[in-house]
Amino acid sequence: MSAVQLDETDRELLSIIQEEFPLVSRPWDDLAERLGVSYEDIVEKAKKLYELGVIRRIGPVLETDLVGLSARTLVLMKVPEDEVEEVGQIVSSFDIVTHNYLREHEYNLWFTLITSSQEKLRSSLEEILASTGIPESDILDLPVTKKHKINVRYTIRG
Amino acid sequence: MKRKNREILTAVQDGIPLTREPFKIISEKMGVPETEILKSLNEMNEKGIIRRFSANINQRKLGIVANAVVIWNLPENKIEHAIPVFMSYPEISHLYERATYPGKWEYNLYSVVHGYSVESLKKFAEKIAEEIGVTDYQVLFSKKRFKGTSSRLATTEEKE
Repeated sequence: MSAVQLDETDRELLSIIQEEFPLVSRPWDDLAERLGVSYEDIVEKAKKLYELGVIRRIGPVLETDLVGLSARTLVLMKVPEDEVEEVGQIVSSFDIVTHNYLREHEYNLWFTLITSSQEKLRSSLEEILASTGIPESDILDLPVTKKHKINVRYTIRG
Repeated sequence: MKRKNREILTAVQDGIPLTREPFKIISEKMGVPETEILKSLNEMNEKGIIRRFSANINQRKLGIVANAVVIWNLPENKIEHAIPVFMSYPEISHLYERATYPGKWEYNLYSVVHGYSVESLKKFAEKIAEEIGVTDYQVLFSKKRFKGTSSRLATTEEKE
């Protein structure tokens, strides 16, 4: 995938809104003023960035512990090569699964679960195992013991 | 969390519309005044219930095409020295310690790293390994992304 071509204003706009989108009635007017362009210009840029898929969504990043989503884990699963596609999709179909990646590793499927209680976490994981047919001996259940950093911000270069 | 706050978060969590007054659209959908929605969102932002209200960017479109989990087997006595090293690099977006299975799975530190190429990312991991004096680590690129979503509130049931 070749990188999208951005101009200076695009980069400034992305740098600002990946940090913080103004929570005011007319946020784009606010951004336009800060960047020294018109509302029409900024909205056209935003539309383009959405269409190109650079901006996926503008919304809240929740502090999961404070919104009642405090039970979570990472599961590593050994899936036979010829079942990867099917098992990957079954796992993804669970709402409780937020991320699910295929990796080059003996444990090839890596997915994260997040929910409101340890009981729900356990029962969902059991359900996932039952519906994929993967034995419990072929997974590693790796809950976080200490969170040091979550800071998804990119250095946006030209 | 207050019921109203939860409803507002649920209404905006999949993204606000691209329009001049996005919160007015949300307000009309919910039947809640726009001023109340903005006040509530700003409050949750200040309290840290919302870590931040921001644009979710697809970094691959910006040329940041190499994204990997780098896992480290970090001896207990090296953790204190190593963590600040990891924290100092903006290329690392996530850093967690996780449970281990002694004798079976000893990787205890998980970092998510982003870079402009596979090679530069591998070099980056090598540099950190030298800096912290660890040799047992693995750089794991993703072969396929089956799913990748933000943490979401359940829209039905599951209310606390």
